[in-house]
Amino acid sequence: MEEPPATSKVVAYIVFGFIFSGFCILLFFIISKETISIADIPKGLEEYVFIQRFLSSQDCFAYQDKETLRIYPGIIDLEKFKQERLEDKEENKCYKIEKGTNAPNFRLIIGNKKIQTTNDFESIKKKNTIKKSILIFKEGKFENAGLEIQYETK
Amino acid sequence: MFRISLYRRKMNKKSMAFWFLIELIAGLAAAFILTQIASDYAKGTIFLKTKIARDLAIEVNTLYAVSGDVYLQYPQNLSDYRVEFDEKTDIVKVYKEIDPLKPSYPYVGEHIDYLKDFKVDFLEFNKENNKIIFEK
Repeated sequence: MEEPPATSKVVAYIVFGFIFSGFCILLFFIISKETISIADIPKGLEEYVFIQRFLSSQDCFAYQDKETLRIYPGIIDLEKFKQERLEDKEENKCYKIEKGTNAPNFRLIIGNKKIQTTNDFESIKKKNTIKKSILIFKEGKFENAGLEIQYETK
Repeated sequence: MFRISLYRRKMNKKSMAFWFLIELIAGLAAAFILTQIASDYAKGTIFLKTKIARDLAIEVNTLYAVSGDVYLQYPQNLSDYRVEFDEKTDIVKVYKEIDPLKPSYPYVGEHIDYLKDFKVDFLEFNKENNKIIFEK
């Protein structure tokens, strides 16, 4: 039996290199998929928490009595319901998405007033909508109103 | 090399097929063991670090969803890990001293008393006047 020529050895090494690289990539894929699936956050939980923030935080839209400073979660102060509270500005303490992170985008609608976290909301493909009946504080009076929340899903 | 060549010359087709089979089985066994080790590793430390990072991010988000002051102690002992809340990117990272893998997760919160790269047994969140302060 003759020794294989040197060129066939080189070809064998190249083939081995490709197979080995493929195997490593597959291994990396298995590891990352396994990790992500096990430590997954239940679907919809993150968005629910953010919606609660919009309704309950005094830095967002929750009504706060000026005399007692008591916060009324679930009641929206229409004076606070402004686009500035969702924009990427220094003074915004409600919901500011830092560039490069994948926090979900939101659009909130009460009547004909619409505010959103991004101007490019229409182009988001995966979205969900929920509607809630809420109380709003408008011009010194409490009124019933409908709140529509559109949010980006993963 | 000379000895191996002589040995190969002596080998017939049957024994070559036999050794090829042995090599194939050994290769498959090695691949299986490696996959298992990687899978176990993924389920263990990396999993725990990822879980803690996501958990802490969700806790920060949840604290902002509650009106009023809140004190909360994270129940998991974090003495084996370092925790980092990145002010610029709003990302929480959990890792060990020397760690090539740093699992991270984003949160949305502007009013945080940031502590960079700290190590504690039980992390304590203290939310006062809608600002989160980490107690050491």
